[in-house]
Amino acid sequence: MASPTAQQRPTLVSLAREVGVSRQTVANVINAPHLVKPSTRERVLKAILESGYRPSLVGRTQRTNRSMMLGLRLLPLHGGVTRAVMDRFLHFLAKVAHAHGYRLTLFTAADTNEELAQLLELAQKGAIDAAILTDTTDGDARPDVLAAERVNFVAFGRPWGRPESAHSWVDVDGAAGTAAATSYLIAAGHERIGFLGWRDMTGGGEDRRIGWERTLPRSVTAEAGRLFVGLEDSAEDGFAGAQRLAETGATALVCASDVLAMGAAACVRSSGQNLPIIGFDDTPAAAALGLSSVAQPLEEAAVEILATLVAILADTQEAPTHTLLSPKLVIRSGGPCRPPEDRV
Amino acid sequence: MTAASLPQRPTLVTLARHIGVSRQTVSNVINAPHLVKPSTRERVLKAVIESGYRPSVAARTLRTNRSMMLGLRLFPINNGITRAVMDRFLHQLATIAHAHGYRLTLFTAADDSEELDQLLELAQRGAIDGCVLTDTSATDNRPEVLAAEGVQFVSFGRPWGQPGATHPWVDVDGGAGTAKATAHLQSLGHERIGFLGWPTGSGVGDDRHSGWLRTLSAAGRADADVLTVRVEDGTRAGAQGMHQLLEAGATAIVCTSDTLALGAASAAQKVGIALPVIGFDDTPTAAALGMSSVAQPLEEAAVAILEALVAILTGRAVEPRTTLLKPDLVLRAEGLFRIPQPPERN
Repeated sequence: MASPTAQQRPTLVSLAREVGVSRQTVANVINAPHLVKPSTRERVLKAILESGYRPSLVGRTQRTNRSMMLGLRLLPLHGGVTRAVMDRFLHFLAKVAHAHGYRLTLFTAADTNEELAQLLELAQKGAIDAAILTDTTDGDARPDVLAAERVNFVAFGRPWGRPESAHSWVDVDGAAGTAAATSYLIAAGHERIGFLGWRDMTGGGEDRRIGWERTLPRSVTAEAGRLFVGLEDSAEDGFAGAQRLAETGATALVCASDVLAMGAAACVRSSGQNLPIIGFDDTPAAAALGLSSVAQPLEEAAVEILATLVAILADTQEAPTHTLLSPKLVIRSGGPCRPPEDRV
Repeated sequence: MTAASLPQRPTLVTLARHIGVSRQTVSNVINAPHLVKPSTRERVLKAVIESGYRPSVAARTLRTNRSMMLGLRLFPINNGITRAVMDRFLHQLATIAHAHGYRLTLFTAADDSEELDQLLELAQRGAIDGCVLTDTSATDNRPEVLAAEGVQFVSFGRPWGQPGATHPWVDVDGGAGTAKATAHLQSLGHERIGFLGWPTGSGVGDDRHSGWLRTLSAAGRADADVLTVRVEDGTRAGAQGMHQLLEAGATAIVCTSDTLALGAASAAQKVGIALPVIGFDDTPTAAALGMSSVAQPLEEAAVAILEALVAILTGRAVEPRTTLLKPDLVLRAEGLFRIPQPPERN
């Protein structure tokens, strides 16, 4: 049954011909990406991802005595719109790992201690070659423990509150995202731009708030405190927060999440106000509702994480790398409840 | 740093004491669930999951020469609301697998045949003990190939259009879900209830259509064709479908997905029409917007899949096991999209 598609399945040679590089270059992009010029690497990796090419594992696991598995803890189901961004990240991670010949060992854990215990057990019996950490927090002990136990890893998320940490990480510059959103609203003629955030703004939330605050026009910076509302991450609270910010004279809103933006959009719609809203994470819900949002470059993050891991595992990493990626502002003007930004 | 929390971590003994059963019963629920009475099994498994207890895998792999890994292909995202239900299923599967001492080997594949190649490779070198198939279709040959190669599996999804299939599967009765939704709207006084669904030919879509159809027919309505609109999954298509159904005289709508329901409900709200809409899959989006929806029992599905797999892998499965689970209707009245009162009856 596999024969008809097997013939069409891409090979190193067919990929090399398609991209116009040597077979060795394609092999290097997979096994030693740091040896390839970034522009070439990007072009070849794109072709690999599109083709669905997968390096043969049978040979590699035997030759290198590696499991070709990467360990990753899956956090419990949260049910919310906001948390789903990590599920989308998982898809990109699995896809890019596939292109480098890796699979994921997925597990759940009651807490970070149990996550560590499982990662150490898996690494010790050679069931994983490395780990990927997500949901980094202030005071996160995982990087230190893994480093001490010599388990290779890359974190998706900065070591919040510990800038001196020496491990490799990849993160998205949330502040750059809200700054871009705020600049967009300023260019559309707004000055009193409100920020709808969370009650608990530690880590990623505070990063998003800072991007908004530092971009506010000088005329309103003194009022930044009044233009900020921090609530729970729900549409109901987004609704209430938008009401409060509109009362303080905000004429546009930047939100820490799409859920808050969804609630704010419903508030604006029901009161007939003319208030543009920009959410965060570019969730499927925002796309469906025609809401503008800030999109995290999840595929790029997965590409950077894998490139870093492959370099670490090939023992060619000279020093830990810290990669901060810029998100992209997605402006939408269609959909069933578009933000009325076309008034200007 | 792990030492501090170790003493608090649950053990078979503390779990047994906590639940009030024997240590052996807890152990059976994990390793041989079919030996335990269903009501006890449910109670013990719930406690195991809540406690975060995890059987020692190191000891088990040594003892049994098993990898304690289950293979699963992760399908690509289409960035839509509808597909995300499979991500939520993955969380449940990982959680229940954990309670039975298994982890998941997750991979992507270009198509079914590459998925099979990978599963066979993993199984042959002992890297997985079994696997879970999802996204079953009428032309699916994966069960046959895996059975022929002696790879153990349970499928999440029926063998659509293959009545002769004998492999174990767990699925959700979509028709029962739309039937519940339709009956609920009837109880509110609606008679002309429209169906907004996908084009014919998908097992899942046709199943959901059948539940609405039989509930409408049972109430004596013979104009089901007029009240059916089939479109591709999308909010824009949902909005257009809503208008078509309005013209056909529908006073309420049952949808195959929350995406369609969202499009229909927003379009109705935009033109100021009070039109109750019920979606499918109870997505986070539906919850956030206060939309009513049919919820698949994903945790129950994961529990049934793991029980079947554990029984098969421990050589104690007696017959092909199939489980069809009933979804729940989640009604929301406090949200941003309210289900309005039914129209005045003539």
